[in-house]
Amino acid sequence: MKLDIVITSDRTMITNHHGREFLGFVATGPPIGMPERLWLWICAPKPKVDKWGRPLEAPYGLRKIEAALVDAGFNAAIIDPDHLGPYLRHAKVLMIGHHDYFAMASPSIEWWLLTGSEPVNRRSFIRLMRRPEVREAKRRGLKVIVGGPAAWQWLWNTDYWREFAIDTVVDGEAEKVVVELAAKALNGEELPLYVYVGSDDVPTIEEIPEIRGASVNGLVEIMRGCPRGCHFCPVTLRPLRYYPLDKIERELRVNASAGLDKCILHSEDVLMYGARGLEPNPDALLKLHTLAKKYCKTLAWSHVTLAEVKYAEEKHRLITKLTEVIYDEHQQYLGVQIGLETGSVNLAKKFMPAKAAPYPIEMWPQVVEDAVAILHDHHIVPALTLILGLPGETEEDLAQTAELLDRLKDYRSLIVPMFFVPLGALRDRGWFLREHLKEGHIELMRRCLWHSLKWAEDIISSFYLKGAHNALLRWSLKLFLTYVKRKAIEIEKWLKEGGWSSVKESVKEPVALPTIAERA
Amino acid sequence: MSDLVIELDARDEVKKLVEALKLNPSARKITVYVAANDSIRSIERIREFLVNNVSRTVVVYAKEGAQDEA
Repeated sequence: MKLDIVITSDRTMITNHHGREFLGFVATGPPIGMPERLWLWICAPKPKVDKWGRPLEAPYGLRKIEAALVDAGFNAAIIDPDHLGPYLRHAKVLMIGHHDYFAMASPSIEWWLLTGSEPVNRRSFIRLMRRPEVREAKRRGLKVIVGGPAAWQWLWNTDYWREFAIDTVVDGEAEKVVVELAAKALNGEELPLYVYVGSDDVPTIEEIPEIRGASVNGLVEIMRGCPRGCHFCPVTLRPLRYYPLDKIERELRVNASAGLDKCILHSEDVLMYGARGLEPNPDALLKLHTLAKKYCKTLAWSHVTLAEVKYAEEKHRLITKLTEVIYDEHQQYLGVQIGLETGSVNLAKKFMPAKAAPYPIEMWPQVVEDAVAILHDHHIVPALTLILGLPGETEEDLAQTAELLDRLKDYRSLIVPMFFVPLGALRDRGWFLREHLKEGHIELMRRCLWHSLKWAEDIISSFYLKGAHNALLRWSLKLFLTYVKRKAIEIEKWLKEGGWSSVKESVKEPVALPTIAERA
Repeated sequence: MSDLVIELDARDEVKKLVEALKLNPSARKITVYVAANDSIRSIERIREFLVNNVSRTVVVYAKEGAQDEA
């Protein structure tokens, strides 16, 4: 088989993470306490491929690009990175997507800053681009187009842009523009260096193509955009669009026909599916979940918002009703990632004024606690993310967040602190770097770590990796947790003896951080 | 709503782009032509503009013939 257009990414992307999406986050860290090869096996095992080297499951974003190109009549397919060689001898275009090319997004940048060691996602991507077959194809005139949610990182990594001779960087929803770019590349026309897809040029629901091959862990999109308008989030810049159920069903069917019996419903807030304003639509949500369970033994939510959890349950008993649809002999828990962001009402008012709606933003800490309690009661396991270093953050803001964490200690959850990354409406703000860390940040990270360690073992044993078939993975992760606990105790002792300043001096600054990283 | 096309040579600062946009505030698509002989350097020169843009479509082309700095 020959292809004109090869679509791919590195191993940390072309994997199904052992069928456990959350393990993908392990790729955001540097390999600590074990060889990189073992680290990669835990988070990014090689996927099954067909005889042509096409992965049976591939990242949903790449599937959309593949569908757009195939629908437009191009000879294109996603190829596993270990099978690129023969294709690159003939292909004219290589398209690459990534969530975090250079480990500049959270939490990668945070692990990198704290440990001084490059995360494996970055290492893996750079290794891919330096492969002889990629370089050789480039010398022969291969056009390389990169995109995906981390496309913005190329603006800060122009040395790699030069080294890898990237022809075009596409930032934004690319389904429409990629067809035009492919035609230009194949016709030998001039390609743009950079394309940013503004809100007027994003595809309509009808223009969004439907995936033609299975997505990693059965992920299917149910909507795009988010009306809450949080200033740090790029998704809110996009118009709100809901997929109709028949479109969702066709994608569920693609995954099911590939043998997947699980799905992840993807949205910035699954509970907003079909909503009118911020008012949830119980009928649409119940229909959506009933439909998904028709094709999937198990399902997960990518994201929800805490305000919607509280409101949907209090007004409509919707969390109860939805879990009644979801839970059966195949599934007794549900995983989801949720932005807690901050416990500070002041920061919440400033950067996410609609995050608590329909409740007043002054109620944000209470909304968080009530929602997390509802999730706990319904066996929904959240990975809660905090943002450290929002512009203008004070010690008082940090203290309020610490206080909120204490109120959450009895609720099953992981809490992951993330350094502020200037995105969305805050793209022009300064980066949060190691030298900006205060004692309050260290204390928050310490509390998050112990909270997550406390609950991680329970989650791994009782929910996430139950059963004999997960024994090896469960054992590896428990071994890692034991190592992290031991290290955490050592670091705490070190902090008590020398304070944070001694830690700051002992960690090397990563070399590739943005050159204009000073705080605005 | 309109399109804005602007050409930048090696001497042009990013403010030329910002000024042009001020004169055409309704422009929803901006096409920028930069010098081709070191096009990535040109991207670096207008990075501040690209980073700050959140809503408009921006397309940057390298233009043959435009002179960049050595």
